[in-house]
Amino acid sequence: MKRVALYPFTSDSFPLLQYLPIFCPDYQIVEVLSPLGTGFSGRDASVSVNRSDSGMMVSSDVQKAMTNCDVLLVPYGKPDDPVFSDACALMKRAAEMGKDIWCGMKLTQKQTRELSRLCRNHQVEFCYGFQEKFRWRTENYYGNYKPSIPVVLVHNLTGEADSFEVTLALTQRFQKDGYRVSTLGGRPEYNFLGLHGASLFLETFYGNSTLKDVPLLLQMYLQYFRFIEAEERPDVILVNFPGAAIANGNLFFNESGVLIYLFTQAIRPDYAVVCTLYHEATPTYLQVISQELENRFGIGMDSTHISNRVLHSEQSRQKNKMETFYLPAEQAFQQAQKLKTERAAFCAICEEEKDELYNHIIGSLTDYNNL
Amino acid sequence: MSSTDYLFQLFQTINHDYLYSTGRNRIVAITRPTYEILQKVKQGQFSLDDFENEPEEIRRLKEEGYLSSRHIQKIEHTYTHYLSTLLDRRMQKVTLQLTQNCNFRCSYCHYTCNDGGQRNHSNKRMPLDLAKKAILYLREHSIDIPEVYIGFYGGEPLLEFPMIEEIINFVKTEMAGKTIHYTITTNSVLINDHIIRFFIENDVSLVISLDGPKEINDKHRVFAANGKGTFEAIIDKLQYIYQNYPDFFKQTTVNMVMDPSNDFDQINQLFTDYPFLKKMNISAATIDDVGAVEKNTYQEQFFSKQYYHDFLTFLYVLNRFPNHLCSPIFSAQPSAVRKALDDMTERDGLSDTESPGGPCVPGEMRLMVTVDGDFVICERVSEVSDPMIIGNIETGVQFEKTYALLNVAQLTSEQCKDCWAFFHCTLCAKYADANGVLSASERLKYCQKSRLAAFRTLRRKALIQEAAEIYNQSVII
Repeated sequence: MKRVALYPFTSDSFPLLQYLPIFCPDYQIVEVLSPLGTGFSGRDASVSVNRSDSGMMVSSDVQKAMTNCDVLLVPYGKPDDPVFSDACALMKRAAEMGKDIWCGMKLTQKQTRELSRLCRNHQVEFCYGFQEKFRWRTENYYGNYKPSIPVVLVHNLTGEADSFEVTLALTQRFQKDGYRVSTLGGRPEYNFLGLHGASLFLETFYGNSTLKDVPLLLQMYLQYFRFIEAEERPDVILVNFPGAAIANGNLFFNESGVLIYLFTQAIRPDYAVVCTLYHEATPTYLQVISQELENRFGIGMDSTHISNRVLHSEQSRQKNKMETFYLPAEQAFQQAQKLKTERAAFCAICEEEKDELYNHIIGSLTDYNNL
Repeated sequence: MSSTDYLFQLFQTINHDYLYSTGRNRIVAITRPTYEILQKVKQGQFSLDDFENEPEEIRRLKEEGYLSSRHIQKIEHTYTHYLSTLLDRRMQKVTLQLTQNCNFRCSYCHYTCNDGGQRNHSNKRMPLDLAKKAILYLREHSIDIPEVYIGFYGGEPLLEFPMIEEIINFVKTEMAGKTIHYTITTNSVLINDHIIRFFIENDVSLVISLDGPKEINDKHRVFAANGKGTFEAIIDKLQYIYQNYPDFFKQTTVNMVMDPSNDFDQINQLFTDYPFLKKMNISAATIDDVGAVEKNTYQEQFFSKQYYHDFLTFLYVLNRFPNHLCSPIFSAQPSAVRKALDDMTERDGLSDTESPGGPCVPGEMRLMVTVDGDFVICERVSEVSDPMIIGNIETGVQFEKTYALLNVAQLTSEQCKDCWAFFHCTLCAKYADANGVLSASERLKYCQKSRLAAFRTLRRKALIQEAAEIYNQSVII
């Protein structure tokens, strides 16, 4: 069993605490580290997402953690984010101390080369989440593709609303019932979990110029899907798109579903889980949104995950960027219960709700004789 | 039905007549006959429900929700239900009152007895331990935000510069991983090279108070030690920073407190006499006499000239006047116009429960910690007024008090529900503070001013639209 230290811990990496031990049973997270300024140190990790205790305490004692681990895991983050400012230096130090490095932070080419060389010299593993481990073939395909197996799309409505966590939860549930699942997503950490942090997605999400050539991108989506289908022979494919599907009023720009639109031009999903920020929405509102999504992407909202994350619209407007906060998870659960009478709404961060969401997907897909 | 059954406002520009609908929070151009009918409705001479043959335009305005008799039933701030979470997880700023002492005695300052002697300059200073506790309180209560603000305030905070150094060094360790923005409001006379270098190194934003040319500044702002004018000392410091630290100078802000008993042109003369000041950010406001014993006296010419310069700046916004001829006092105006317009988000109609503009979330936005460790909602209110003290460093924020401040409009619920400028209101709890009691009548005193500001925003929005539509003219903002 290898011992993993996660640094820097933020609310975005909370799902890794839950799912890394499940998908990588030979690894155990023993240290959850965060710089003092985050306010997490000395508290249960679940405080970052305002949920009940997880049993994992956050520490800021990097020195001690480095002696107590075999792997340093740096989750996805932007290098210019102050919370990640020490991450690169720490990875170098850890490599020199003989620790394996799993890096989900975007590095420059120079940093990648340097770390790679350092890890080679110290005979430790360097796993860079932005590099998928295989390449796919290059035949040309045309037209909208309907894979022979069901495709479940998980995406956010107006902003990051737990889609990473919901995708991991669904992957686990499918696997638990014995299904072979191929999961593709836009977070580099998928590659650490034996899933696909698809380089194609990562490149388009994080600034590669591929998007400028739309036909090429569609072609690549087709090739990638056919490759996964042939190579892994899954029973179901889960696709997780980060970002947002629609704009949030006139508050600020987002990609407004451009990537999802392109994807759905290449691949036709069978089911869509739409993750929404907490919103005191009515079933009618969700129905209108579902119709809007269907008009845009050809697939609406088969079910909704209600996050406990809330948009702070006043602050977002003032700062011209998305500002959010986490309500106690119980409130999102209650909201999902209110909607449930009329819509397939779940709060999939709660254990029992994960099962309900999963059962709804199974029910819908088997209705179509798809699974 | 009374005139307040339909919430709207009317106004005209040279090109159009307009209706502002409160429910839709939107302005719409209307024809003259409709304008005249609605004017009669506004004056209570006619009711929109009394038509025998309803004019087409009125019918359409009703259908589209611009004219609606739907009324707000309850006033409650949107974030009321999130209040405890916000206080727990999203505190954005702490302003540390490092000292109550000052080397100046400004006549309009509340510490110079302009609040009836409730507050006085004293030798009280914030213990370093208390400052550190306040920083840690900020850290523990800001876990949902990646960047926070720390302000140094006084008295004159530079009297405690060694403590500022210690606090910033403490923050570097204890707040690592968070983006910190520092601001300090100072009279500048204690600034030296060491202090400037420290501020540059730590990215501290400097706000320096200067009220105008010598004769104007020195009328109110004198040294505590000898009662002599302070202008020369301040301008010397500004010149020194300009000559020796030009980049830092450009990021520094001059805060002008304007006395409206003066001639506006005289105040503006400062920038003719000292043109290098134009390179700074300028923030200007008239003396804040809310809660003051000595109220402002206004000279007619102050207003007329101020409005004239304001107008010129608006012409600049409309791309019709060169920026360099505008008064620097209004340099922030284009962005203020932009913000006012951005805030005017369209609505589907009035809900049963609404809250007027005005209050920020107390404790979330700009909490001030006094030298004694009391939590005051911000540095602009009286720190000895009980409703404004929302807790202290030992017990934290008191929910009930913040609730009352956030929902201060409930004091004037009936009047607010009937106010056309509901969503443009600028009155926070400060304007309801009557010597330590939240009072409806005190709050209502400021309504007219707030409505006037709203009215100007509407006209500006219309003029900007017209500039684009009628004159095919792009705007600067």
